[in-house]
Amino acid sequence: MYTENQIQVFVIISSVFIGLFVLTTIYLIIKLKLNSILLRQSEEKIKEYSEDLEKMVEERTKQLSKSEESYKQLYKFNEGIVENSPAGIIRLDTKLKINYENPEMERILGVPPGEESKTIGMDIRELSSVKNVGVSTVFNNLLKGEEIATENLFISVYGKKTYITLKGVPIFEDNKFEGAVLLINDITERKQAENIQKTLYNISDALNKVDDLHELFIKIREYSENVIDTTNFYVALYDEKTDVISLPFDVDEKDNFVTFPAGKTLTSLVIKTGKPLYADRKLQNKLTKQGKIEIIGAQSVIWLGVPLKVENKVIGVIAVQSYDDPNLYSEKDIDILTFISEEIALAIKHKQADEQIRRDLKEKEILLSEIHHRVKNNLQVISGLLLLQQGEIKTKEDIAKGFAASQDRIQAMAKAYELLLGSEYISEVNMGKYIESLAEQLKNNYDNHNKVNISYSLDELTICIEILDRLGLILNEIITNAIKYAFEGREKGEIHIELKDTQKHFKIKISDDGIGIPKDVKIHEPATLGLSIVDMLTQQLQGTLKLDRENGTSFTLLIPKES
Amino acid sequence: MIDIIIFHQLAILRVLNLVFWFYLYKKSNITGLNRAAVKHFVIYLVLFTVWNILMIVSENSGRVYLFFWTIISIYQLYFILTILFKLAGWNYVWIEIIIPALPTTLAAILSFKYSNYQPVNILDFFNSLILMTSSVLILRYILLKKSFVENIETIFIFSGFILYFILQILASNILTFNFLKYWSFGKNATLIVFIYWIGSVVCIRKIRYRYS
Repeated sequence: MYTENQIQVFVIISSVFIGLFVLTTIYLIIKLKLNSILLRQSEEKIKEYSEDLEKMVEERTKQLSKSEESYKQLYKFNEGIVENSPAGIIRLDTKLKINYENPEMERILGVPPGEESKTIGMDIRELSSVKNVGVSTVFNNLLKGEEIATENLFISVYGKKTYITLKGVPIFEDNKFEGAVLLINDITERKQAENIQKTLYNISDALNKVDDLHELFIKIREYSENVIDTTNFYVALYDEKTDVISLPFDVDEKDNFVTFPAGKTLTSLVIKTGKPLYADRKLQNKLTKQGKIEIIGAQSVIWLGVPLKVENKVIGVIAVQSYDDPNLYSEKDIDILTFISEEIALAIKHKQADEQIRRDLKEKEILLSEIHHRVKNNLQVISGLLLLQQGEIKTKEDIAKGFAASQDRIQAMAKAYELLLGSEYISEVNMGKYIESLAEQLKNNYDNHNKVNISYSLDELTICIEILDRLGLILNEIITNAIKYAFEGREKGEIHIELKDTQKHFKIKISDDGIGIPKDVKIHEPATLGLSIVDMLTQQLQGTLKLDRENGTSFTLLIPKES
Repeated sequence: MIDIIIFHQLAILRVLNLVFWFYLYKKSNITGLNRAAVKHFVIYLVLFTVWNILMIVSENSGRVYLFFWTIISIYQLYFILTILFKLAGWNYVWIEIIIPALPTTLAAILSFKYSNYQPVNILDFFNSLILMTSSVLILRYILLKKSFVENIETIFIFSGFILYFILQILASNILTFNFLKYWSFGKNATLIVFIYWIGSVVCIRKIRYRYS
């Protein structure tokens, strides 16, 4: 039926099919197995991924939780910084409108406590352009992405004046302008300190350059305007002797006093207490009721005065006041005014010292010419005395006596100048000291046996040198005569010299208990040179000389003070 | 042409098998036990190919047959048991592999001496039982313990061996029970397995391509 070859072919084909069938079966089984393995692996992978994902989610959740906590802490921290920042902070939106102010900024603006700031929502340019000309345009630079920085006097919508430094930083996100942050520092105190320094420097400078005190006060007022309102400003000086207050400088809207009695004014209260006084209307009324002050002139609504002190002594007051604005000054202004008062006191002290120096210099100049005049006169007097003495010389003994007498006279004159050197005043000499010194010198010269006792009764009074040098010559002659001749032949003797200050005269009485002057000696017709000199000089001094011969000899000399 | 195919079908398939598996061995990026299995399998095919060529060209094909039957049987034993021991993690000694080969050699000598293939056929039967069991164990180890995808080449080789030994046992039984009429059944069994192994290379490439 079938050939052997056909059967062989059939068997081969069958074998191939069987092989392929087995292969396909195994392949399918393997594939199925592989798929199941892969599925299981996929499931395991998915499970692993799922677990990993869960872990990741858990970790991420923890991280987020931590981040949230950190963010909260950071937020609180930042909030704390912003709320308690010593700098004012403003946040602006994209249209430069204010959407946040920190408490310091509200203080700078002068927002009343407890009230909401009315600047929230305002355009920063409007806020700053109303009274602060030129500032508003600066803020436009923020829109261009530029940082800004400025320093200016800022007047807020509440009317508060503040010196500020401002720094503005624009905020950009993805190159889009998202707003800006402004940092504002209140530098009023620093600025005020600078102004005070500048003012003090100007005042000190004026002190050196301006001679006239009134002109100096004008300058001081002008410079002080930078730190304190001086619309009503006066400098008052107190005269203790008269209890009067004078106003060497006064600028006032209502009053125009030159002097007024110290009495019970605010000025005198400061002088008496030596302390600054910040008196608003309420305090003024209270002090008035208490009887501590009396208002003279127009009453101010606020008065601020500080004492002018020179070497811890109150010499006056510097004061500012206002008749309409009770808030014009604060108690802080006391410090400023005190600074100014110290400068003014220093100026017054300098001025007084300067005037004293000028006075002294003038006196010295006069004195110098006077000394020249005196030297000339004294030399003329000495020359005249020597000439008179020359006329008395007749023997050789007279020559020696004449020299001694002349020497005494010159020393009497010199004694006056010797005392003048130690005198407090340059042209006045203590007369008592002079008389005592002269008499002691003459006693040393002529009372070799020490038998003469000189007693004194001398009033404290001074006399000018022009009178004294001639008076000295008179006293020299009288005392010399008394020591030399009054006690001839006696063991002891008393001389008493008396100096009295009568209202119009100096009265000098020289008396001794000696043998008495001979009766033929007449005082106005002298026979001796000494008495002639006495008589002549007494007449020159327009004085009178009286001789009394009872109980010894007594000369009474009356010299008018105006001689 | 049909005659050539009918006559040399196994020789052609052996060469094709060798080419396919050698290509797979060279091109595939396989490592470890899998590589060792493929390598032994390629050597096994080389031996088979040489056996076939020598059978064709030799005048005394009976001696060549016995000689190569002995060599290939021993190598089969060595190859399959080596893989099995490796998978099982047993410490083996060379001698332990050679000892099972001794009966094979003895059978070949007996067949040669008595000019009767019955000893080799009987031993072939028992060898086939051992090798089939070993192949089953190898597959079991791979499927249970080793990565399935990584050892796909080994799976195909040893599943082919299982098929081969099952068919060989059947063929041996036929001969053992003296059904000489169906002696070519063993030849057809080899053909089926060779077809299976050639097709395996294609399947392995496909699986590797898809699941790598």
